[in-house]
Parts: sequence; structure tokens; C-alpha cells
Amino acid sequence: MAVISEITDDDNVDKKPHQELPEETRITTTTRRCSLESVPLDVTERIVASFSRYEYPAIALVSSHFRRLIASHNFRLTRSQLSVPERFLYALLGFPPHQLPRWYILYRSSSNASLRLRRVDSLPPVPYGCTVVAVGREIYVFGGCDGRQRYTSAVTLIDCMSHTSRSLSRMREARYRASAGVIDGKIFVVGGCETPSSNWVEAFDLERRVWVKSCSFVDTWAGGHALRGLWQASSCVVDGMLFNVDPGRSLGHLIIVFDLKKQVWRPVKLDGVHGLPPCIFQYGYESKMGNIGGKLVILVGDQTQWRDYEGEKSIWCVEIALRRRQGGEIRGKVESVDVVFKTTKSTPSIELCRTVIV
Amino acid sequence: MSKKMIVLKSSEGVSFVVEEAVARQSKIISFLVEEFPDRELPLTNMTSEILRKTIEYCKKHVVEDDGGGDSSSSSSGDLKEWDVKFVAEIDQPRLMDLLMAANYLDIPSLLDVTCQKVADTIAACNDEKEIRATFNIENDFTEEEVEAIRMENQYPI
Repeated sequence: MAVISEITDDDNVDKKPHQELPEETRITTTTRRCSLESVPLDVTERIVASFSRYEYPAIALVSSHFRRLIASHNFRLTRSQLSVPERFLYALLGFPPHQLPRWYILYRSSSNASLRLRRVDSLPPVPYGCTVVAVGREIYVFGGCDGRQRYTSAVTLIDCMSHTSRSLSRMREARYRASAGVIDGKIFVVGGCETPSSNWVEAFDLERRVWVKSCSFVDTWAGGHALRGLWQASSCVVDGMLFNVDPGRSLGHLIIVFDLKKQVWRPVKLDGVHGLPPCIFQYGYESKMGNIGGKLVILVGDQTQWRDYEGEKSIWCVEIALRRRQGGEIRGKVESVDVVFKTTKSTPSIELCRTVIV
Repeated sequence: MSKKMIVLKSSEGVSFVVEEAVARQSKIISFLVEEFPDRELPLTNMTSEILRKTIEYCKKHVVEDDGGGDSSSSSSGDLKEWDVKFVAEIDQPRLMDLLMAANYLDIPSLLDVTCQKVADTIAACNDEKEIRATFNIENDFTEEEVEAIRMENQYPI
């Protein structure tokens, strides 16, 4: 028998029909427990995709259903459509003289854990002195020096979503410690070849994934002299501004920023300097600086890689938030200081770090 | 009072008379109403309890065409608050049933709030054991597998 019940805003009215139902019907509906695993896959994907990638390892441990889901190609697609891209710092750590550099990711295993550098075992080592450009979720690796002291023209593409890599067509020149940057959808790889040639600059088209015709010479930038004065390899760009670590504190401060308009370096005053590890001043020239979502991140070792030391060696990570004050002055605030890596084997050299968006 | 009414029937055979505009928030019902006007719509995989909850949600979220200032045209802030309370009052098994109903009937906003509630519940769990217990999931891993997964998932996947 069908019972007509008009739903009203008063919740009590529609309880009556329920009591008129045969007993067994009600029992079957109330004792059944719906497991999260019986939810359609696309709905589960949506739920899991709303989590940070930091949480996926924990969710993969729930059951093989979730482990398969997180590893699936479909889930990657859902994730790229639904979730907000996250920024991760990828660092290349070398262990000279015997081991080629390997990729590490700087991340927290959970939201309240401290930062750690973890090796990505699925990615192969890369040559020393290679040139690295990160574009979105991909990393391009150009040239470098292989284990037998030979320069290479090889190019590798790493997909940071799946942590897989493949070879792309080679450069015309073999290069070691070349420079590179992205302009108008092309990666320009400059210098680093043994003899300056007509291929001194090569251009790689990102969309078509092919090498294209490039200019044969580069104009020296008029501002080059002031810039070179204090510039060193531990630098990065945040919001179009070039930041540098200056361990010698020529301007009185550890961090400096280049003022493009006036063509001068300016100091960045830091709050929380006292919490900084001493190694950042001692070995700051061997540090590497990165940008994660507008924050400066400095990775620095507490031993120089040129000294034989058999005890424990650490890599520190310093996170610095930036803000621009009225009048354009830029101030920094030390937000966290962590030991992110420890080893008793050969002293790691921090080759470089890049921000990847996945 | 000339609003068009339609009849939805639960798995227990209980019929619910609902304003068409309310029921049409479900894309499936919207489609069925057009295909089969003036017919009772049987929803054989939904219990009366869950159907009642779903209708309660749809009544709150119906957008009145005439713009009359009645209770249904709540501000979006009020609605969000109401949604939070709505899912907070539902226990775990019924939340899953409601999520399934939202998915089956294709009510995007209800699917959003139920998915979010499930995600929040997962986030509130301390570890994978608690997630399993909360959501009635069986652990089908061996100790060795757990160790292997921990090793391979040391970085964000």
C-alpha cells in the first residue's frame, strides 16, 4: 500500500507513514552499512582529490582500493581538473665525487610535521653541471658532465606528476653549466659549450617540443655590471624581483634584492635573524635559494663539500616570508628553520632547486 | 497554490508529494518529469529516510522564479551555514547513503556538501586505522605490503 505524505516544514508530520511499514523492510534498510568503498569511483576520486598531495601516502594505506585509486591515471586527471595546484621544491643533491646528483622533494609528511628532503627513487640521477628549467609540472634537464668527464648534449624531460622521465631530442652542442630561461614559450639555453659557436644559444619550443631557430648572439644587458657586483648562484626570482644570499653581508644583511629601476642591490631586513643557523653565513655561497609560492627558501649544508669529514652532516632549510612596505622597501621574516636532511656518508652538494607546480 | 506537484516513491513504497521546482534540482528527476509527465516516479534504491532528507535539502535550496521574499530564497551565507548544520546532524552511515542519493539523482550541490563532509571526516582521522573504522573499510594489506607502501610513498605522490 502506498502512503501519500506531503513533506512539510514540520518534521514530525512525515514520521507516521514510516511506522505503517512492514517490519522486515525497515530492518533491511537500517542495518545495512554503506562502506566508503562502495561509493562510485568518480565520487571517491573527487573526495580524495580534495586533499593535499601530502596526505595521499596516508590515504593509500587505508586499503588496496584507495592505493589503486591514487595510482590510477584517471585519478591524476580528476586531480588536475579539481584540485588547486600545489608548489613543491625539487632539489638536486650530489654526493661528490662518486655519486651523480639525485632528485629530492622538500615536503612535510603531514601538516604539523617539520620539512624534510626525500629522495625520489623513481627518477634517475642527472649529470653534474646540467642546466635545469621547471615549467609547471615538468622539469627539463639540459647537458652536463657525465661520470667520465665528458660533456653531453642530452636533454631529459621529467614529469613530476608521475615521476617518470624520458629523453628528448639532443641539443646541437654539448654543454656544461649552461644558463637557461623561458621567454615566449621557448627555453633558451645559453653558453656552457666548449668553443663558442654559431649554436651558442639554442631555443627549444615548449609547445611543439622541438628545437627551433634561435638568435646567434646575445646583447650584453646594460645593467649587467651593477648586477654582477654581488650576484652569486644562490639566487631566485620572486614577483619579478631577483633575490640573492650575500653571506659576506656587504650591505649589512644576509638577503639582498636587485632594484631594477635604479640598478642597485638593496638589503632585505630580516625579522628573526637570531634563529638562523650559523652555517648560512659560513657556507652561504654553497647554499641554494628557491621560491615556493612567494616565500624564499634557502637550503644550506653545515659542512663545506670540499672537506673530508666523517661525522654527521646536515642540510638546513630556512623559509623567509617577504612583504613590501610603503615606499617599496622589502622586509623578510624568518618563518621556519629546520634540519631537512642528515647523512654520515659523503658531504652532499646542493646543486640547485626548482619549484614545480603539480 | 497552483504550483505543480509530483510524486516520488521510495524503496519502501512510501510516496512523497513534492513541488516540481523542488524536485527538479535533481537532473534525473528533471529529465524523468519531462519524459513521463503526471506519473509517479519510483526511486527503488532510496529509502524513505534518505529520500526525505534529500527533499529537505532540495526544499531549502530551491530558487523561486517569482523572487518572492519567502524562506526559500535565503542568502548564500545563510545557505552555507544551513548546509553545514544539515550534514553535521547526519550520522556516518546515513551520510554515505545521502551521498549515494545525491550522486544517483544528480544533485550537484548536495553531492558537493556530502563529499566535503566525507573529506572533512577523513581529515579528522588520526591514521589509516581510524579511516577504516569510520568508513567500514576492511584492511586487505599484509604487513609486508604496508611496509612496501610506506617505503614507496615517502614523498608526495
